[in-house]
Amino acid sequence: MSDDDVTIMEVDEAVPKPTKSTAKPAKSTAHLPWIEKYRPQVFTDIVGNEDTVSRLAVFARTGNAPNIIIAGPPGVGKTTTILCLARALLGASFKDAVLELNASNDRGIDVVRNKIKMFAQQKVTLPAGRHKIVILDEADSMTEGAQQALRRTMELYSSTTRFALAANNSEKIIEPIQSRCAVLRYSRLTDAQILAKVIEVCEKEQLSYTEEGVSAVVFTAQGDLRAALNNLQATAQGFGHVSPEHVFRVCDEPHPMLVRSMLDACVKQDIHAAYKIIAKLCKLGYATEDIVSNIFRVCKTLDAPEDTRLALIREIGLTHMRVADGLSSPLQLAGLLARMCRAAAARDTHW
Amino acid sequence: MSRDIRSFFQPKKIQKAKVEEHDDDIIPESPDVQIKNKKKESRKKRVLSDSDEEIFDSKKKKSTAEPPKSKTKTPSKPVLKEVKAVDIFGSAPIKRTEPIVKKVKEKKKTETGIHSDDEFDKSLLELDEVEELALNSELPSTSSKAADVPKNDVKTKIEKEKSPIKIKENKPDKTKDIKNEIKQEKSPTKVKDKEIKEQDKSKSVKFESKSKNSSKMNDKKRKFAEFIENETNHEAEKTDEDTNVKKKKLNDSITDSHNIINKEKKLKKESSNELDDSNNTIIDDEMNETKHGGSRKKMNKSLNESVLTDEERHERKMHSAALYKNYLNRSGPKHLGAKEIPEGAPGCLKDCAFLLTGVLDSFEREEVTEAITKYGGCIKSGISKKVTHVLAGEEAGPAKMAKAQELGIPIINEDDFIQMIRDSTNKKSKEKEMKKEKSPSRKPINNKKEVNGVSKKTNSDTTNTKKSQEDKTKHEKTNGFGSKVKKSKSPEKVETVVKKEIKIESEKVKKDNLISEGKPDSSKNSTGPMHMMWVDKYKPQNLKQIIGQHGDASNVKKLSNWLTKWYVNRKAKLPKPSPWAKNDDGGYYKAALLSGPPGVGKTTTVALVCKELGFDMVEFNASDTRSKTLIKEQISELLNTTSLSAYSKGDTGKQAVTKKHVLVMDEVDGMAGNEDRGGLQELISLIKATAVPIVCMCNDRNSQKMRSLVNYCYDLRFTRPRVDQIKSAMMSICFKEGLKIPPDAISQLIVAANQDVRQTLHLLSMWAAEPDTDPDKLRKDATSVRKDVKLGPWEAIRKVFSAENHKTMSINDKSDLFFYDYSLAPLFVYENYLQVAPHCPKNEILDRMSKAADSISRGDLVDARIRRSQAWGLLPMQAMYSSVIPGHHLSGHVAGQIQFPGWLGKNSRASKMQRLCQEIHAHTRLSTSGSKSSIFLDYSSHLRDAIVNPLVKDRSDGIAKAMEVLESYHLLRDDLDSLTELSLWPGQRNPMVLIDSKVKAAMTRTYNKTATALPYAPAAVKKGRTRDDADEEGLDDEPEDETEDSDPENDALIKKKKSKEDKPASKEKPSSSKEKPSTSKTKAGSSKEKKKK
Repeated sequence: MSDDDVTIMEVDEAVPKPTKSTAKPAKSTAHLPWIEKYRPQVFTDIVGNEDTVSRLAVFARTGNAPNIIIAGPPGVGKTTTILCLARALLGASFKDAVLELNASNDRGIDVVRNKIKMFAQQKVTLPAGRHKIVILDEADSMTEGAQQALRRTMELYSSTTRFALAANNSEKIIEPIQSRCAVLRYSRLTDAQILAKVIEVCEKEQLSYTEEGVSAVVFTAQGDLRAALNNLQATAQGFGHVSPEHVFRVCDEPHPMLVRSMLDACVKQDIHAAYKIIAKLCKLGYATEDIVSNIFRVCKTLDAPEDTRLALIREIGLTHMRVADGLSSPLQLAGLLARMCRAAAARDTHW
Repeated sequence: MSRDIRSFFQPKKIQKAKVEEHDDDIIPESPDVQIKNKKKESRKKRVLSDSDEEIFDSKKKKSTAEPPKSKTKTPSKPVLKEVKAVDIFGSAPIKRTEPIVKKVKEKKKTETGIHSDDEFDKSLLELDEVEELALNSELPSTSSKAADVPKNDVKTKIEKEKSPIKIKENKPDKTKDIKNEIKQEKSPTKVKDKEIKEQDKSKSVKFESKSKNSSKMNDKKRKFAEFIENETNHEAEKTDEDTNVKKKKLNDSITDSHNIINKEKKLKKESSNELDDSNNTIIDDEMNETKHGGSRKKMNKSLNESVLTDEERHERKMHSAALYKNYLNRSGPKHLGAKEIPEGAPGCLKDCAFLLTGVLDSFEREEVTEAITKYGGCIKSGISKKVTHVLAGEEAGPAKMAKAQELGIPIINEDDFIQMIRDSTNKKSKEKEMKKEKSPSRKPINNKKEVNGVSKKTNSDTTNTKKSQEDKTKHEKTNGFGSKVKKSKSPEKVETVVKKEIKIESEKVKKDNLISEGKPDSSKNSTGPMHMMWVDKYKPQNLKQIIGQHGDASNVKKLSNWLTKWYVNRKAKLPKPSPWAKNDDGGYYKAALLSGPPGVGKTTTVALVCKELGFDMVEFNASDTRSKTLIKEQISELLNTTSLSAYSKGDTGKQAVTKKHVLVMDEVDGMAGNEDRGGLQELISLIKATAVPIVCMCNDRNSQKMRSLVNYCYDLRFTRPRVDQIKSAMMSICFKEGLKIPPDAISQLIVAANQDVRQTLHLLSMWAAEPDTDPDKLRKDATSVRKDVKLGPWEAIRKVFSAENHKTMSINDKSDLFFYDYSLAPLFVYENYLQVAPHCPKNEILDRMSKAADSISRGDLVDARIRRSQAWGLLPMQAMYSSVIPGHHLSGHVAGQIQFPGWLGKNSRASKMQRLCQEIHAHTRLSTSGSKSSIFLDYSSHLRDAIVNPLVKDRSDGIAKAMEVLESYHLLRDDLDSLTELSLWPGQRNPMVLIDSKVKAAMTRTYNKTATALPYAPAAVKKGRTRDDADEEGLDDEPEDETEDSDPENDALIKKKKSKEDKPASKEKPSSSKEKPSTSKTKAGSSKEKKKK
């Protein structure tokens, strides 16, 4: 495994991965973050977005993949997919035929004009249908000038070089570049997909876990598999057992479920129930600002009519402003609850 | 236009003659003999076609001719109609699309050679099937609706046509007689009869099938049979085709080694062509008459209408204005979501063209549009004969309705529409009936197809046209004769014959392919097509393949005209054209600027135009550094060199050395950053002095960067091609790649890619990786690939208030709209929220407005906190207050034009006023006691009047008085301007206008002459205006000098007097800026004097 991970990070020794991946648990991998340890090496291991991945797998077999942009939220496997593709396409020549640049590299306009262009012009002997690959991770952080400089390079050397871009935000990639690529959109992973993966990892690591604990990990991840694995590892190393309390102690934030039930109480105009929760949160020592911003975030996705939600958000905003001004006493939170109850009530009558 | 039509008719006659000949051959003999003949013919052909070109031609014929044939066959009557359409609408758009198709087809065979012939045949058959289906549904309808007016027209036309046909036939026959090649000396009439019989056979097959209402299997068989029949015809025609080939050669002016006989034939053909021409023209005229018969009435009407009095016109205008107002204010659907569009059978609305008008009761327009396209229908924006249904809702456009009634188009409402879809699902067996019902609607579409097909043929091969026309004539005849009994062989026989023929044909095709592949294909890269991206593989190889660039006014044409005339234009001194001149050929400009969105073919266009005109392209793009020095030294040197590039292509001799360069600066908007500093300026100066044409390309010609460049360039704007233009090209590529994608999925894909050809291709190649996915998923995919284009604030604001968009958006999506530009968005909302027409009862509007305003004001509070205490964590909150909540309350649509936030302009004006006020306050500090605001409120207008009034009243005599005031308040001449600006309130008249310009000039002069001593450093004041010009070094020193001066002010004055006496020259210190050196001079002078003393 360690080898595999190294290759991922540093782009060398790509070939042996698939074979080694089976041998992962045997090696001493304790010093690797799990996200690297369990990073998929082949397409079949990639979780989620099956359509796109299977299509890419076809290209991996046949070669001649078009330029691609993979766009999606963090932790859904964009970089992994691209690396898998490159590895499957190039095999042993991965080292020579792949240029990987991410945001940590200098990717100014001159790098594009010199380094990338030079790489594109290089001759690397590859089997038919295989091309050199330039991987630009986090392409949305490239400046517009650099992207402009990339445009024609992508076209002129398409006979020898293909580009694979990964980005969180495809809007930040200029339209001409998008036009030169097939844009693939990755969506957030479903909770079930993450849950399956998390349980798989738990079993591989021989962790003791409870059902609720694992689902708490999934909850904190919010569709981000990387976050899920990180949280899982943190919990495992801290407590050795995955239970909800442990998880939330590691991923410290006011539990969204609590906040949600509090908001539900407000909608029902049950201020006592709501206040109990707030008092508990305050007692746990959360900062008022965190509580309020958490309430705000949860409120946006509350299971209530949009009118109600917006009415509540109006009130939350007021409190948020005050908290930002330094009035971070529990009194403000109590006031917020009261106003939210009133807003919900008013909404019933005339909103 | 008329030309086109004629050219397209000419072949017709020839064709007919040929057909007849065939028939002669075929009918009397047994099918076996026929086959033999055909084989012979085919062999002959091969022998004949020893030159490459011929093979190519014949290939073309086969490959291209067959599919169109089947197309043309299907629509039974519409020959006449086709012509109509062409006459009426003009052939221009058709032209555009055709060449693409052609080439694509050619490519299929020559380039890729991937598909085996069988596959190709299969696909052809499939095509036939589709069209067959249409036919089947159509034919009954036509027969049933004998009473229909159009039908009558058709009949009459057919009759008319017949007579010309006779003439035609006779003449070609003669020519053939002369040839002695084919020995059919039967009378033309006989020939005709036989033809007709044959056709009857084929038709009878169709009819039979119809009457049986047989299953699909039968249909297929029939189609196959028909297809085969066509082929047999073709084969029989081959002898004719030979002659055609020759004709082509004539046209192409290719003088290859041919038999003497051939040459003779050519000559004959020429004569026959002439004859045909005359015939054609006659026929054309006739046809036109018949066609225009109906349209003339309309013409008259429109003429009558056009003779309107001014009053009427005015009234109309008013009326339409009122209508437009209504349109803007009209509400959304009343019972939105009350009904659902049912699931229909796929393609159930195929061949229907809808026109939507008015507000539907329970659907948004988009929903209906989506449904229609999903089921294969199409949507027209304007009413025309092609429209089959008018889907009218409330407040339907009266003009549209009237016209629809006039054209006899069924007007349906929402429920009818739903019913249409439902029927399709309920009983698939009923489908055919449905189609019959719809058939009137279908006719126009078929016509369209035919028109396309026909014009294609005219453009491409004469053979194609002939064939298609043959088919048409067949149809006509069958129609005219009604259901004649088919005396003839059974369809099975025909089938067998046909099969054999197909084999023969396929063999030929294979051979052709082999030959073509054997040839060195220059267009292919060494990498081979398999390892190229589709974008490169299907890159246009010549100008005609560029999508959407066909017409005479296209950018391609303009660019090539401009380039060809470039050197000529440099000698002729042309005046700069006015920016509004429409048909400017850009002769004045030395550079062209191509602008347009990505993926529409700008770079391709330039490359191909250069190639075609023999220019050598020197390209610089954003991946090259293009700084000032580089452009100056390298590029300009480059352009003076001589290109030897032709040597590398194998040319030798004089032509190989060319001085014809084009400098292509691609992606000029990508000249950015430090590296390219000064590049644009240098480019402009390069353009001014260039000796070669320069072509620049950019995406957004309105961007700030391009502003200076635009003035020196011939402006060529590329727009996105229409969806159907791209679609046809994509379909043919899919076909070549063996990819089956429903057409509507492709059009969705194209729309999602924002009509970007390149990206569409990329996405298609992604799809091709996994070809056999179900169409529904493809459709879903198509919409999901939507390119993320950053919304401008204008689109974003429209979305903020759009009720339609709200339906599908979560709160997070809505707040994303705010984050497109979080500094501008609140201003936009504030500027425009009152223009929104919320979809709600009228009595609520005010309430909602107030809530929105309240929320906006809170947003402003949050904004202030964010900016003041850098509490950026509040930004999501501001998004809620400033955008989401107002948008929620005022959910509806923006009824007016979206305004740019006025706050920005006003804010900058306010800060400017502040600055002016500050300046004046500082200048007048010695003589005034007020604060800044009192200067502004109390002093400014009076000060201004004190200066301006003497000038207005006493003119030049008042100058002294004005100067006095200026001096006593220590004001500069510039301060006068700022004073007037400060004191001018809205609605007031600028008093400076009253001053005679001469007086003003005189005053300025006297002011400059009298160098007044100031209690402050005027340089600091002037900084704003003259900073750039003034030499920086001087600036630093001057203030010190001045401050020194201010102390010995009196001394200087005293000395001045002396110096005046001594040297009058020292007086003339023209401007205040020169004042300082002069004072230093006087100083120096005075010090000298002192020394003397």
